[in-house]
Amino acid sequence: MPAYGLPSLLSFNYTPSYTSYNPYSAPFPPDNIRNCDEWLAYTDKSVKAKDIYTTQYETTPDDFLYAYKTNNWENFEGNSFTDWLRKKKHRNVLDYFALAKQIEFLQTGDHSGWEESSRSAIIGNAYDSLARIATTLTKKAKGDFLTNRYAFQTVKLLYYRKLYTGDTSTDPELIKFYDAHLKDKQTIVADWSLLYYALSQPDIITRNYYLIQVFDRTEEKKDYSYQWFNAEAINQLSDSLTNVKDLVLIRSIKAMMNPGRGLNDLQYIISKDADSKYIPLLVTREINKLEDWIWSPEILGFTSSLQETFFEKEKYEKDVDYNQPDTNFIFYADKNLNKDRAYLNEVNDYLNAVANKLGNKEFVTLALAHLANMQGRHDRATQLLQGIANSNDKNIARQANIEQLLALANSNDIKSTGTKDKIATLVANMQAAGDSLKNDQYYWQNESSIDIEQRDDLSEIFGLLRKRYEREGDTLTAGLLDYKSHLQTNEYGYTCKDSICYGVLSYWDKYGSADNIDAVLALKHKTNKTRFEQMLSPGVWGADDMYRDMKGTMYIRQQKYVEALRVFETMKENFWQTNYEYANYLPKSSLTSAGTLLPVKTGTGKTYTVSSKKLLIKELVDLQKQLALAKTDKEKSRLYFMLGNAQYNMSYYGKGWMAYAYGKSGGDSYGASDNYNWVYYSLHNSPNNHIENYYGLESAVKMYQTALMHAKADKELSTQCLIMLALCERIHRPYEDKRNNWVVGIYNYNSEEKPFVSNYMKKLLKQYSNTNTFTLSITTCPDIQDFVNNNK
Amino acid sequence: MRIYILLVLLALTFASCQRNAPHVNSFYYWKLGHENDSDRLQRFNELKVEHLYVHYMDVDWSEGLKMPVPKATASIADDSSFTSRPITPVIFITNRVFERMTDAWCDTLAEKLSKKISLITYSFYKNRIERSKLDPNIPYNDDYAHVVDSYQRVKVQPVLDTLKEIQIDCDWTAKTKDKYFRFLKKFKQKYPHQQISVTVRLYPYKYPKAMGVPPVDRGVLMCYNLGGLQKAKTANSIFSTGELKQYLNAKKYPLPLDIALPIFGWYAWFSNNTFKGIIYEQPSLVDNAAFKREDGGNYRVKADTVVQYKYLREGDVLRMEYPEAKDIVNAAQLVTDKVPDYGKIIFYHWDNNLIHKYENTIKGVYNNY
Repeated sequence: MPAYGLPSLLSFNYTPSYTSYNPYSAPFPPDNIRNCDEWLAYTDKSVKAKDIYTTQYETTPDDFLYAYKTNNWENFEGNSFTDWLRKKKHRNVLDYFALAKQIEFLQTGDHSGWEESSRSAIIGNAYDSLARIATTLTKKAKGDFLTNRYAFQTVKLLYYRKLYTGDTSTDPELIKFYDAHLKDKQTIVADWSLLYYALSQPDIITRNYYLIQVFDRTEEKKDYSYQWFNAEAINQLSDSLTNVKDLVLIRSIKAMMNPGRGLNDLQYIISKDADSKYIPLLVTREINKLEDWIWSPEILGFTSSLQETFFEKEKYEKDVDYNQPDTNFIFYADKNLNKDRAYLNEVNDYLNAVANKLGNKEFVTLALAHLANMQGRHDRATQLLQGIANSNDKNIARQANIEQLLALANSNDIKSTGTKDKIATLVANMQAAGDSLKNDQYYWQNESSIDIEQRDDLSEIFGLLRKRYEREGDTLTAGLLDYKSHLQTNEYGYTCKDSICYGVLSYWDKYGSADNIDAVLALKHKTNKTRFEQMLSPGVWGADDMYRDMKGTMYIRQQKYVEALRVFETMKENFWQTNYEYANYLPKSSLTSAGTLLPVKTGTGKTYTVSSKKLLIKELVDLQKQLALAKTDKEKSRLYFMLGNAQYNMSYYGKGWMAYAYGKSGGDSYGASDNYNWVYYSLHNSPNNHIENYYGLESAVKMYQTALMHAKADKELSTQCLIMLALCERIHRPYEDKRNNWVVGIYNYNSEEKPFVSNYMKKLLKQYSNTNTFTLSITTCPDIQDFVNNNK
Repeated sequence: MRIYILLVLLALTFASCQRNAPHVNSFYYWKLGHENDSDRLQRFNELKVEHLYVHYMDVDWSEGLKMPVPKATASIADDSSFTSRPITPVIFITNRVFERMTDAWCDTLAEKLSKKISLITYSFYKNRIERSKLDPNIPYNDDYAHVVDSYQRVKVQPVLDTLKEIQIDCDWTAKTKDKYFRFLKKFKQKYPHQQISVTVRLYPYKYPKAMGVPPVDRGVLMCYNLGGLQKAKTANSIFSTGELKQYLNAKKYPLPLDIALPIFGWYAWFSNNTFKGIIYEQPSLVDNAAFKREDGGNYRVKADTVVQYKYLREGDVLRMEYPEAKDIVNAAQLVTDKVPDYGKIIFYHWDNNLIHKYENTIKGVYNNY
């Protein structure tokens, strides 16, 4: 899933959550469990494993050291492990444990980086003295268990000692110590120590050799060692290795680093070691790449890292100029997609051919079912799933249920009642298995990535069902699924906690029609909903009047003011005064006035005591009626001028923009930007929304031009029309700049460096400079004075 | 014959713009690790590099600690490259530091930064001198006499006195200028005997009224990073003579200026006009069947290929962004005409491959400007 605000899915990289997400790719239990197991064995299983874990990982160094130093173990009452440590015969073990906690304390300080040499030196000295103690104790310790652990602490301390003293040279002492005490030892502490041993190697190839071993042998240090890999050294190393185990390991790591096609890697690894613990991870990874390249953009609307996006497609089609530097992209995109589909078949065929050789049969079957679904062979997927749908392995059963949903969602009769019912059943199964939209609809932003991965499945299912119903022309179902899923596909929207909220409208605002709104309201109030309809029903419906406001606003955008008024008349009188942000942004004065833009009184002059779209639109309906009856040019000119003012006021730049849109930001990019800003908060660029009027002022200009045409001998009105026309021209200049891609080099170079010249203003200067309106304008409006200066 | 003509033309170009005013040849040294390079000192001498701007560290904002923190601090150099000629420490401070930190921190940052600068400078000398005592292969340089006491211990103040200038590099905005300038004022107070300089991008150079003029001793006019890297239509985001000219028609800048010119580059990777990343130069990167040079100097990817762990798809475009040698010479001419009283000509930045690529250009510009 793309991170919010990013243009596309990110490249695949190894991350801890990646392996942890896939339960079949974590080759070992977590390191802390291995450590506790070793302690458990050392105590001859005479203590509770949980107590070891608590003491090791949930007890602060301060708490433990306080008990140790004061012999006050009150806080550890009932802890079988500390009881065991406190026995006289285990005194040496308790001393080790206390030293380990002391070191933990030293390492968990919060250092800001501003420490001066003295501070660094103090820490460096502390590491140094502890390293000396640990070195002595390693030599004195009896038995492998304690010797190994003291040796591990020593190696760690030696490493950090160098780090703090700023000495970047390698440490022969550390290397020697590791070789003497930890080399080839089968214990978690030897595996951890190997990281410091690796990082102390002077030769970069040797360092990377040990780093890949650390990656292989530990969980905890996997991510850290991965960060230290040097790509060039890994390549050189891979040419020099001969041992099959090492070859498989390094090829697996290279495969994890490979963002391109990795089937060759997989083939190599399986041919050398069909039981390699990395195979499930790499199979999943290859499938995920195919999802990114082929499937996610298609079924979820996610932005592929490789394909063009639908946003880009729109730009591409609309803006011929935009694609100038790269006119061939569509050709290549199609070609690449075909190659990727062929590659999907290749991966599927290969996995099918080696399935019998591989270990976890259910996992492989699941992978094949998923690939079949991606290939569009949904019958084959269904057939494969029969064998594993009731697996004892909950993860397999859960994913098999999702695969069945994927197969069903792509069936031809998705609109039939039977299929809808089956979909509802499978979704209920997912919920029973723990998948949820937390509290129905909330962000997951503060949760760990693992939770996100497990929790977004249901959202993604709703998202892909949305796309399917959209394709079948069922906008109602699609819109409700979109709201329910709240997938973050880089589109502006909100999750709603109550019924007055833009989120309930966002889909309809972008893609809907007035009919959809009627259907939403009908479903909302339906009493005997089917299971599928219950599934579609959101946790929070929008208020009825919120939906009605959307419907009326749709009519406003189409300039169908009579229809808009009819809708608004069914709504509560004070709806706009008491809900959402209407009261803050809907003006309480007539839209027909140019307000302070002109130094003379214009418009009907009406004012209202409450904010109301109904009252504002009613005036426009009246003006339209008067216009239909108007006989003289003068009358027509006056009415067109007022309608022009209304169009201007309801644009992005006007005081009544909220009659047209639900949000506005200084960052609105006029729907013509060369980035994706408009998908976040600007008015969506769909045909019904007429952004050419909202951002481009086209309808306002048209009205003013018509008014000017009718004004004829009325010099004052002509002046007013010309001033407003020149204003429109100047105001939406950035829109034109962006649309024409003039913004290059210095930001806004065009508007900053080139004075604005207006033909309307020239006409005004030539023919109407003696009017009262003009005289007042140049004395009271500095903007117009500027205009005049630039257009002389 | 063509090469001969080109050389003659270059020679004429240089000859026509020869200046009499003395200036200092300098380089930005931006390698954080200061990896050992035994040839570096010799290369400095060959190219007549008289001075270095050495990247000491970055300062960035830590949201977790709610304070600015040092990052990417220079580690200890193990050769005499940095003690054999004057150096100017350069500290890059991200603009978000000034967006986020409180006014009070402006003063604190100046304090903390000056201590960190002392520490790093001291470590250059200490490391070098200590090692020369221990390792017979590292020659002891008599030049160090003034920074050690009679026991050959490094003295702090004389080391700090070797610094004649300290530079702050920040891409400030109109919004952050107040805090940035407050910090600079305080920082300057810490160094009454040194010059404090700042980097000046072309935008603040052209619009000093809107962007303010930093309260320091001098500036370095940075004649690169001119275009939008992520825009498909940009011809070369690092350098374009046309765009440089757009900025140079400004009035005289209120600070004395030095001049920084680019000798660096990369490939900007685009897919469907969307910027995907930077691909750094490597031997024969585009010199194979997977790439085809097109009109205008861009490369079209002809076969899916993984480069530097990036998956380039057929049809993608690599925009080569290295300044042409003649453009660098041309820029030197344009900028020195505009800023005739410059003190240093500085190239960004020191890298063996780049030095090799631009060697003649560097020598030519140093000799003639």
